[in-house]
Amino acid sequence: MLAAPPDPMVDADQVLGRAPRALWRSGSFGVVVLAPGAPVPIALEGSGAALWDALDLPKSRRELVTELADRYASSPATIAADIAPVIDELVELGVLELDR
Amino acid sequence: MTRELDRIAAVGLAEPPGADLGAVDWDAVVRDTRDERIEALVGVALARSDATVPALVRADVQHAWSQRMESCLHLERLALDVASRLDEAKAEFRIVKGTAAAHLDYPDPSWRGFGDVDVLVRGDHYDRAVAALCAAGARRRSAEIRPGFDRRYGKGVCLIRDDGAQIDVHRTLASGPFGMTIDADELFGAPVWFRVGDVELPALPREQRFLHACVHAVLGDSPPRLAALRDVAQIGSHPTLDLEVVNATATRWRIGVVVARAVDEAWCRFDLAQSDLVRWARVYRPSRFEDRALLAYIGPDRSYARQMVAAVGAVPGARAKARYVRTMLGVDRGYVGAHDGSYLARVRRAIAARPGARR
Repeated sequence: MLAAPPDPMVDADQVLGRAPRALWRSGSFGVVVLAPGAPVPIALEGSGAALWDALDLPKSRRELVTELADRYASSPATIAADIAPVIDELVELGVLELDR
Repeated sequence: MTRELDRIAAVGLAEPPGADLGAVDWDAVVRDTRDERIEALVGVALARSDATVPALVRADVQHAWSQRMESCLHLERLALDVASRLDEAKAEFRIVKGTAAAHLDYPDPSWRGFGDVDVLVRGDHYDRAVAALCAAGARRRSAEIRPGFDRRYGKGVCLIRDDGAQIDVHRTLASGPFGMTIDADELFGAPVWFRVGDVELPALPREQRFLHACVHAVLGDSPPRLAALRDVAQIGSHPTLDLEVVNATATRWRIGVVVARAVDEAWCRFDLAQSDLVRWARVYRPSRFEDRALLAYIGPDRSYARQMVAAVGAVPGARAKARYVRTMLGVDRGYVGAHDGSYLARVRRAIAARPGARR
């Protein structure tokens, strides 16, 4: 029997924010972010850029999903599933921080 | 081509470039924007335009903009490192030019690219500031004329790190005669602050940033880069720029001719609307000193040697003048070898660099 996929809304009240020491620029090219200690900036496009834009102020996963669902006229479940791996990757890269 | 680039670089100041951007020679624009350091302005202009532009051109412009921004992030990290080391060395400083302008003067930092880190250091703290940055791995690009010359008379020094990044350490805003008349101590009044990451960095107040932009545009590269003129127009157009403070400071520093020339050229190049500032600039009557001093920086005979010789007239007092001349001629052997070949050649060069000397 297959294991159930992880629930993207686990820790829905967990607060996410841009890493305060991250340096960044945005434009029609997307977003480029230099994480603390990273050798080179990373380029965010698509959902990564939207996520960065939405996190101009720290907010919970639930608030983030609601905002993006409104912006893209999509269901919260779809948005939550889409952004969960992006959040994990950006936290791993030091670009975003979780308030645990 | 130049007019097209000027029009594009005026984005946000003048009428939007509009749909006629489609008729622009984009190959030439993409090529020239790098030299002019205005990849960001071209990117903003194209992003705001609904012109029909080939997809490949849009991709090229966005790529160049993104690359410049990535480079700026590295330089901002370097600026934080420089600030930290200067704090440790107890050297008072201000972050100036591109990094400060991007955060303080443009609608968004992504509008202003830059190619190095510029830091202004209080004269008394200059030697230990340079020593601290060199201890951290930077090295001078050129030798000092003699120990202590930069701290007393020089504009500053360019430091290079192993990764190629450049840190320009300024003691004042200009070399030559205007470097003597600008009161560098005034630049260390109350700073304004801007945030990079989680650090607040000190910068000059808006009126001093404007004067610095004028000095850089007119006394720096010849002809001036578009990025430098854009700074003049950008800061000069700000509604809170205090023209009385600008005028009083320019008069005190005897740089009215520099400000008037910078404003006139920026407003002409970008075809901007009249303002009190530009009306002032166009009727400004420079003093004889200002006219003569300016000649050391502009025209075909401009050179660092000419500026340093022209500065003699701006050194106050006969004894100080004599000390300045002795300092210029009594240079380090290593410096002479690298720049003049011999002491005799250096003296000949100094004589030839006198204003009005026959060539």
